[in-house]
Amino acid sequence: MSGGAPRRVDEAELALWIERFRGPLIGLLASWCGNWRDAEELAADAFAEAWLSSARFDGDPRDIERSGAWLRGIAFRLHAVWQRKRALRRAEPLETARPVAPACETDERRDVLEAAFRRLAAPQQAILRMFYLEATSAREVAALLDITVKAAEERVRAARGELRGLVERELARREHGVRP
Amino acid sequence: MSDASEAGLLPEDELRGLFAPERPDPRAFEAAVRARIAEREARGEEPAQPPSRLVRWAAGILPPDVGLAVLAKPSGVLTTLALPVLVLASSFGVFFAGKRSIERSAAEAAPPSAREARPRRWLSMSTVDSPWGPTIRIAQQYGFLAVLFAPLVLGGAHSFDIVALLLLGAMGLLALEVRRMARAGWMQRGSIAQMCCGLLATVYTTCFLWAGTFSLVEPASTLGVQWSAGAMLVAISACAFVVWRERAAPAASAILVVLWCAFIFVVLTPITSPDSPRYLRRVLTTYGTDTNNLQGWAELGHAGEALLATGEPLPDLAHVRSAVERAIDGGAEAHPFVWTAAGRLGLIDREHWHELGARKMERYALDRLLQGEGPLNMVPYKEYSFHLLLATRELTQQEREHLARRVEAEWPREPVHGRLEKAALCMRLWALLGSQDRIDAHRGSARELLVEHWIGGGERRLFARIGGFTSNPQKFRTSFDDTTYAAVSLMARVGIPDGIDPFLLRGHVRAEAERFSLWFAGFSHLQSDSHAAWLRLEREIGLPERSWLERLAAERVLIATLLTLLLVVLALRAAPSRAALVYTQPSAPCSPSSTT
Repeated sequence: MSGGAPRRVDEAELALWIERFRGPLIGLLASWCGNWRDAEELAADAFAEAWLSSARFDGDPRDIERSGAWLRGIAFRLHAVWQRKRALRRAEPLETARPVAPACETDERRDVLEAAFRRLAAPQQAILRMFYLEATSAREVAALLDITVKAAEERVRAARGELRGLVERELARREHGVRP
Repeated sequence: MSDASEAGLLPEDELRGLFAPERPDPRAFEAAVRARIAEREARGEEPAQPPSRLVRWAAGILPPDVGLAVLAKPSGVLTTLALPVLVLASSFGVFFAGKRSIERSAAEAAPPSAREARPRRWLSMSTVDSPWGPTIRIAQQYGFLAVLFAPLVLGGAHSFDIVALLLLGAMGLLALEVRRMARAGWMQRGSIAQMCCGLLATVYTTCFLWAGTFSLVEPASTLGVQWSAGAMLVAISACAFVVWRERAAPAASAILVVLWCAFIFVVLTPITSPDSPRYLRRVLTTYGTDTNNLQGWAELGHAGEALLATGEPLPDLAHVRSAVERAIDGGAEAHPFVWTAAGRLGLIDREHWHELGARKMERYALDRLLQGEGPLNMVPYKEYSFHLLLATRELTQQEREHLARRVEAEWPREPVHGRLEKAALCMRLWALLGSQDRIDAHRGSARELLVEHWIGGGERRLFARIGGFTSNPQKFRTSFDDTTYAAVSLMARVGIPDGIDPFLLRGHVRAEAERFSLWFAGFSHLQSDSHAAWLRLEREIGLPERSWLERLAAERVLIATLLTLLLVVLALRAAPSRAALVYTQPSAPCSPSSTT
């Protein structure tokens, strides 16, 4: 059940958490938040919160499953607070919207890939972000999503297959002169 | 993954390339984490209370919306969406269990008793023959106390969950009562309708009749409680109609019940309340004809202001204009409320302002405004002095700046009564003087004042009106209509600060606005400030967006009510009607001896 009495996580274990979960956690938060910048900020907050409240962590910090579930819970809560604050900010009548930066030019293949990625279902987008933002193994992703490693691998495989199909259809559309 | 299994998949390199621009710098990221830790430790900040293991588990298996809500607040599951979602899920659970029980009762019902269904008292559910009768009778008589004391136990924001739980109890009781009647051979539509009629009437009086009196606020509902109460009354009438049709009781009794429902519906159920623009227009057309009578003048100013702020058309105010002009022409000493309301609505033309400004006392007051120093010592209803000043004198930039400084000295810094009203006045005066920089400079201070005067959902007091603003947070822990209107007008300028729940605020102003039905609303202006606040909150300030689950959970009382009524319909349909029983009753066999 538990890995013994709760103890404070040490510096090396914090570094290990960051190393293991940085990429998938930012990817997961980006899927919730809808933007990378806030996701990175929230992920840093989540690691800091995890460290500060680690006296209440009742497992082995090197246990991927336990630490993944712990981080996911903290990230959930921080994201909820962020979401509520954002919703309230939206209600302010005097707030002015920030100008949108012009989109930077991209090459054709990347453009197609981005367009196809946007058409993927949200859970598939999320798992690809978690896997490929950094070189992450299925174990960390599975721990954060609270699913088995096998299920995580299957999901990423399905998402990649779906994405490839979408890319091919997008390329075919463009060959026929249909632009998005 | 192996090369063989890569067939048909997008290459991983391409995916890594896709996210490369977003990839964080590992060192910078770790430094950012450590900087946050150091900063929080330096502040001596305690880490947030982590969610319990149960809650973490729930967040793992529930959909993201629910999981987020469960973990959203550190104060526990009960103060989050978890309780509403639990209540909602329980409503469906009890409904389906009740449905199955009723179906089984109908299938296993004893043959209909030869005697008529036993007589029952109307409007209360008789349980004389029931083994749990005494308990239920106590619940009937004192159930409303659960609603009354709910704010004390759960905090005001969760009071309506008690109502939802009582509805769940009613569903369970309905299923049990149907089973008992089926076993006793009373599974007849008339008897069931009679029982349902009594049960629903008891539920209505327990849950809805006194909700307004107990100041319960449905915190997040879009539709409000009136639809639940209205549906319940319609259902009671429908049951009475079935009783009459099945001849289970005298027609006079059924008519009495329908008349009772109709009376309550018209007099007390706020479903018949007019919408805010209509109510405010009625206030504007009804009041403002007598400048010697103070009644309604302050509300008239707020009503017109709310309509103007939300782009709603004003009604014809010629009667107010002529009454005010007559008062000025005749030299009447009207109360400043009158001039302030008329000034806000632009009903005094320049000629009449000059006429008013020519009066000795007014001239003196204007000179004091311009020549005095320090705070204005002004009460809110004296706002007209600034309208008068701006209409009758050409102010230089220095004079405007001087007045703006005096208004700034008036800003409520000390903890005194009516600080919110004073802050709203200052903002209004700066707007009149065109001093936007001062409005911006006091934005933060105004927001702090708003939070300080907010009566939140955690308030655990009997009869405390939560979800509005108090005029004095040290003395009164309940909301006041005029202060709440001042707060909403302040928020229209500075936005809704963190710590104020706009949905709870909406629930409060709506409950106050709908406290009485159209029948009463037609004769009063008492809900004017609440209607004005409600209109400005929804249409001028705007409410944050909510997820579908939050919206659904917010309507849990209505959903529980509808499920209860649906269960009543199922119970009625499961019981054979009188006509069906007559048609299917086997005729009595003729015995040979009967011929003798």
